[in-house]
Amino acid sequence: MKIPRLTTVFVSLFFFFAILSCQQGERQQATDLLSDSLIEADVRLDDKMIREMISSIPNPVEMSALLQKSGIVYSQDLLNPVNNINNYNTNFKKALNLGVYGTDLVYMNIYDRTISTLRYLSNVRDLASDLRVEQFFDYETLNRLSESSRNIDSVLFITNTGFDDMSRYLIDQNRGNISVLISYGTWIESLYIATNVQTVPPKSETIHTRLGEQKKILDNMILLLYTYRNDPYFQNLIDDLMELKVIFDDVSITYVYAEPTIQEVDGTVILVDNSSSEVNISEETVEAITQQVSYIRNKMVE
Amino acid sequence: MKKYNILLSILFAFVLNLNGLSQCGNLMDVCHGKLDDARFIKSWPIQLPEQESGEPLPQVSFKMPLSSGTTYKIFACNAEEYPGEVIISIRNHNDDLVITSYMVEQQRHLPIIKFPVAMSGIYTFSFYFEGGKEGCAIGVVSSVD
Repeated sequence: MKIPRLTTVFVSLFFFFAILSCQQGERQQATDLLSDSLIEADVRLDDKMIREMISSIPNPVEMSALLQKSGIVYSQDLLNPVNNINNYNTNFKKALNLGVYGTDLVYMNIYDRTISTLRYLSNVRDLASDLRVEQFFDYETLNRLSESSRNIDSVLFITNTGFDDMSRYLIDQNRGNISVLISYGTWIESLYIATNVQTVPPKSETIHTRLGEQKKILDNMILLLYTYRNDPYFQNLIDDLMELKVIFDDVSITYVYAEPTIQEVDGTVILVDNSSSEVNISEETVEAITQQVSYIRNKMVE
Repeated sequence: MKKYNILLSILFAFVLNLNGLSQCGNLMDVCHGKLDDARFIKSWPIQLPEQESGEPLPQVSFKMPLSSGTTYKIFACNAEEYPGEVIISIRNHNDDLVITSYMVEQQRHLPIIKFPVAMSGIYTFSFYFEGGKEGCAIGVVSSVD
């Protein structure tokens, strides 16, 4: 069953990208408040597929950990200022920036900025409360754990699990649109941080490779948003990502599959991956992606 | 090590609470030693009924991107109160089976899989219980330096 389902997705992707390309000049001004109830859509992924595709969006822990492991300096200036929360008066903005602040929280925790996390944690709590999903975060415990850098792994675990459970709950409650927006905010913020940190070769090569790998994720994100394209807010996001997709078209990824082999060392199985992938992305493309991501992100948090 | 045991006790207690898996028993005791010094990335709750006669094997799947250059440590923890022992299978973006946590010829379960990824992509993690038994477990993906 899985193969026809995936085939359908990829065929659908091809056609809807073609249709979307024709709609680029029809951007509408968003004026209405986003309902947090089910949005009617004439074509949409089913809940199972939405759940699967959201889970395929990269976890911000990995990107932040990569930056830290690469020795890249922490930059508070890249984060969404805490006071910006006062600007978010619609469920649309609240959902997007719940993802943004959640990613910022992970970034700070990875870099042991535990003192700074408290206000961001408060913002996550407030936005989650406004969206009626506050039950997935135990703020008192997170606050207590955040007081010491020794508890970082626990904070990451609870934050991450809370977001996962919240996403599942929203989809089950026919509020998948909110879940998609949170994932979008999370992903864009993660990209924004990765593209705006100060790097020099060879560190930058690793980051750029990881950036190029987002090409497939971008397709999935557009497909998720497309489910709700009848809402003008979502259509605006799609338009922005379609411009990003044009830039990502210059990224090429080649895959070579080879049978894995297995070794066993002290009872632990080590899977030797004999396959490989290669990402080709130019400096010019990285720069163009950086600019478009910054444009999208800054519009999102304003 | 002691620090990790304390932290893991807290965090797995939260997982059980958040995922409503308390009825599966105390997975914390079963699972906390496996993470060790790895960095937690993702976990999934798995609770499946017994396979009914003539029905397909109950299983649940999740997708997750894995990145080249990263070594992942993948494992699952079973609730001891349930008869089922969980099996993990991992497929790449082409749906090629990469590995399962059950060695069929030797009829044994692999407690931990270390996977140094060389091909980035979105992988599918499927979970089911040996023999279609009823079971409850947590699947964990972590990374090691």
